[in-house]
Amino acid sequence: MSSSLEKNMLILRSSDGEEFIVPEVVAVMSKAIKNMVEDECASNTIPVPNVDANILAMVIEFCKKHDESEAEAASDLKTFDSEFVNRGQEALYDLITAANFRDVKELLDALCQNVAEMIKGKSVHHIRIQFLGYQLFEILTSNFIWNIWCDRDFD
Amino acid sequence: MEMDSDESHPLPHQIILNILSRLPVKSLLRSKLVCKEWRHSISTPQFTKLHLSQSQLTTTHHVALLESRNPPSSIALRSIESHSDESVIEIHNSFKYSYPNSKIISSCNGLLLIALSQKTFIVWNPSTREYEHLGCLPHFLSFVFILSGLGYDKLVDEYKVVMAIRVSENNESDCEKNIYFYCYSSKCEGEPRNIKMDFPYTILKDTSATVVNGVPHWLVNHDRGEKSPVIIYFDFVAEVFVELTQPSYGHESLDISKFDLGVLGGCLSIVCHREHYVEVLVLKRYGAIESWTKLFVIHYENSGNLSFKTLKPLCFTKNGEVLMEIDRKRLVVYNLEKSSYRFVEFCHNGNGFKVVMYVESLVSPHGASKSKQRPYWNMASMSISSTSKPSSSRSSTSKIESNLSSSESSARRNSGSNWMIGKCFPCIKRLPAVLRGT
Repeated sequence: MSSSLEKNMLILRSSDGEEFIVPEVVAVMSKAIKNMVEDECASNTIPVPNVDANILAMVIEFCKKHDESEAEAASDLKTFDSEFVNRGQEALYDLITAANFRDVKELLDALCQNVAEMIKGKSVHHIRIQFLGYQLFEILTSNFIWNIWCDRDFD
Repeated sequence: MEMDSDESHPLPHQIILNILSRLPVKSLLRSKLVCKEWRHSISTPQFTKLHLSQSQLTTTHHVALLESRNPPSSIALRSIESHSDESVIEIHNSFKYSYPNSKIISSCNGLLLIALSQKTFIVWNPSTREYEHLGCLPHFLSFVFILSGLGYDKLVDEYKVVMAIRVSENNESDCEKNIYFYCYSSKCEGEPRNIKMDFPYTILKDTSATVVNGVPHWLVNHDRGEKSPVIIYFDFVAEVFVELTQPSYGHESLDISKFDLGVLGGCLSIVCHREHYVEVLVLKRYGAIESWTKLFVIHYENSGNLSFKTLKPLCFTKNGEVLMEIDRKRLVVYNLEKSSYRFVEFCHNGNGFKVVMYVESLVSPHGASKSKQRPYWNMASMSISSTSKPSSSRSSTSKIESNLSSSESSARRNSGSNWMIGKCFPCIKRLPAVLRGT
């Protein structure tokens, strides 16, 4: 098992140039990387643009845990997930973007669930401040709304 | 693909939908007010389906039972979350008139079919508080309902209700059964449509349907006089009753009073009362006889002084216990490993007791025509139409611009092309007035 792992190592390079050595089984939890590996269009080093070292380390930590703990009790994994996603908003948004871009379904589900929990039971005002707090500037200047309206097709 | 790291990118639309689909309906209705984008997203039929599938996945199932309250002029729907089965949440009461004999008939994807009185039926979504009256059936002197059920027609994406009545008129002849079938569909605005079909069955027990995956099921007897019961379901696409493959009950021949239908874990389940024990079978897959799987057995002697005549499994709780209804009047949580049980307390006046499982959903009881999305807020739609037509936008923009203070308009110029909506959000109260002035 371990020898086969040794062989199947991949190097992921974050947007700021840091390199992570990751077992292939862990790396392919990202559908985007999996496709690259399957299509054999990846050399040993896979660039992961748009994801910086900090966030990439978190994503790898998550994937490793999920890969290891397949046999473990589901409740343990749930606790891990809920602790993992319990982060500040900045990190949360970066993680969501990374998970979405790299297509890591488990992570995306856990993160979205976490954000949903944050919204649950909040007043409209709170949601605007908290959930869109990151975009509060946008709302106040309303670039945010404008961006969305521009991107929509109204049929 | 370009992605700025901060400031100006909101989350991708797909992610926002993903997050919103995990919210309970109450939060969703509130979230509609957060911004127009959300309001639009939440109102689409696609989102309704996404939310439904999500809430079916994440066990936010409720047990619903109607309660006639004091004063009896209102109906309350209580819901016991299957997670923490002790907590009873009153959802609300919403009808103007007194319906003391109302009763839940069946539940499907967040909709409840409720008989308010003998002949008045509504389809109700308790989460969104929308309801639709079903039209009256043609007037017969006297008739009895022999079956009724709510279901979902996947082909045309409609919720439908099937009902059958037996008319007892004076010149009743035995050979003719005088059974009339009616089908309501949400698109026909609650008007019944007569269907003609053969129905070689007799329903003795429960006339209300057990709905699994949007298909209503009943337990019936064949007219041929066989003792053992048959499970039938109504196919809304072909509009016929279809017989299911029956489980094998062993050599014992049991009559229909020994059986109960229920839903457990999203599968149709049949409860079989034997002499010393009760066994619960579930149908994992339609079509094959071996797809009936024995799920568990309750021995009377092991389970203390729990005794019952009828049993209807409702759902699994978080700890793997089974919530079930016994004798049509009590709810009990049964622990399969320890063979222990405890009753779920609730107050109920005993009138038309019926418990169904339901999930929260945004599904509308109205047809697509009625529940047509409300147009955007008036001002917004005007601004959209004006931006989509460059020539007209010029004229309307200049008019409004002239009415705004100079500081604001200069700020707008700085922010480039986005001035129109840019003013729309913070100045909700002002802009319509400006427009009225023009």
